[in-house]
Amino acid sequence: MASTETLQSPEIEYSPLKWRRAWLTMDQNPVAIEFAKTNFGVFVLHVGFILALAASGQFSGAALVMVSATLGAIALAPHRRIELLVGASILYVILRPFRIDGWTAVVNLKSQVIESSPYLLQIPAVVLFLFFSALFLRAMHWEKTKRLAKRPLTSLFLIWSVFLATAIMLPKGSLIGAFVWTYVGVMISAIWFLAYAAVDEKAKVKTPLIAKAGMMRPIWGGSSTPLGKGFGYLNKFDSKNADELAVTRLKALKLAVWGALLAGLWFVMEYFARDVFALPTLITSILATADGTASVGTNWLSLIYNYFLDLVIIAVWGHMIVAVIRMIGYRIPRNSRNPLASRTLAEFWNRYHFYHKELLVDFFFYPAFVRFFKKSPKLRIAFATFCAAGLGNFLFHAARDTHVFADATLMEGLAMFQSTWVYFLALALGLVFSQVNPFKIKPEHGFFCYEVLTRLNVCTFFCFVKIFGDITVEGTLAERCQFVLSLFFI
Amino acid sequence: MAQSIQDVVKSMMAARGNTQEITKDEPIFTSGLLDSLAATELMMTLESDFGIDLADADFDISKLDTLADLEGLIGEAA
Repeated sequence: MASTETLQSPEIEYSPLKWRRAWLTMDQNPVAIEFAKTNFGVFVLHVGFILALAASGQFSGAALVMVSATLGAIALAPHRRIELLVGASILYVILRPFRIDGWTAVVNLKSQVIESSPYLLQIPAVVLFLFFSALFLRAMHWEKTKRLAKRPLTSLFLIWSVFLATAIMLPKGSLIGAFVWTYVGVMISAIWFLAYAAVDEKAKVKTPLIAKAGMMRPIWGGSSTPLGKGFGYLNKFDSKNADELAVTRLKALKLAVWGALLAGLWFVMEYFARDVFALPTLITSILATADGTASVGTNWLSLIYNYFLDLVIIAVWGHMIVAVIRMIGYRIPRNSRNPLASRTLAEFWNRYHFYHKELLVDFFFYPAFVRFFKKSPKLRIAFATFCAAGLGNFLFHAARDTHVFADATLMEGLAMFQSTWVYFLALALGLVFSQVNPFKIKPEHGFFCYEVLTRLNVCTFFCFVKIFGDITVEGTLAERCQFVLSLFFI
Repeated sequence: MAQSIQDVVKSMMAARGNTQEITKDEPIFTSGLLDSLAATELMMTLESDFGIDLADADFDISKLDTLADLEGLIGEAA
């Protein structure tokens, strides 16, 4: 009898749906918020959070130690948050300045040729870049160099292009050549962070220049796309009091746990695809089609599976980074937000990788929009969209991957980007059409058209465009076109 | 004047199925409350209805990100 009563008490009632609801609404629950404000609550939240980060598999052991130590230090000394964040970020950029393996491989190779350690090239290059960043931000206020403030990104890319051209022209086996290549890699890996720091120079809430110049690789990691942009953006989402901080930390924990669950889903999907059903990856299918050894059915499965795997892994990656930023106290929006719900290509772009879209919109779309074709609204939107999704997106990826020129001729290097031209052109045209299309499907067109067909169109477009969106040395444009044709038995 | 820019923003949000109240200092575009297409609509409204030439200024989207920013921008141009 006693045990029955215990089972019926609301505290331990077996009801997974209620538990789920309680978990999802805990950031609105006054008891949970009060608990999150206590020292013990802060400790429990951080322990749970670190476990979720570890479970996601998105952080190496060293990165996990660094993130844990920084979060712990910020929790203990919140009044020193900026100093701790910037200090950890400087250490991180010195140890791991590159965002993609291509640059790490180039610097390792260059250091072997000159019989040196990669750190002897990397550390001076990072220190020099940090000095350059501080100088660049300072120069935006000097009378003679004030033009930098009007076009910070153009100025940065011009300077970087000079270094790139110098690196290409210098002898391949020389010490100076190796150093300049390392500097080119360091600079392009952090160039968008510096661009946002330059924009922040005009922000209302001022952050110390040293802090901005030091945030060239925040401890939450990520790619060359700055998730959370810069301090100007983060400050807009800063928790203003203890209650808001507690809510933000609860949201961080929820997001990290959701990210870890999605990571589990990704591992299961990978396991079944590769180990159980031996489904090839998309690039393997493209190469197999070129060899004449692929089947149409496998190609379709490989294409569709690649699309869903990509959605899941981008969500996991973005959720973990945004969760760390929230744990620090900045309640920024998610990077991915249910992309499968998108009814238009533009909406998908917004929901799939929010901060990359923001980068393209901030640095390419708006500048083009306010300057060109002001008398023709549709042409104005179309051109600005093309500048962002086509030209800007291509510049972002092509510049990031210029490491291919370190050991290839100019023509060989350019050949590696051949299929990405198609990708960015198709993406840009698709988005332009999505923005200016006069016939928008509305709820009155019926459930199937509005709820199903629109979403199916978006999925199909991004599934196909991904065939060309992979910048690797494998799979030429012709082979990728052949793959597309093979899907229709051609 | 300030009331009408508030109405413009509210009607844009309502057109996207969002009827929540926003404070004067709440980020509208950078928070994703309204997307970049809505930002372009608003920019065109600022140009056509309020006579603001955005290309004239050292353009920065953060100048349009809250109702307070928008009111300030319109006030400067008036």
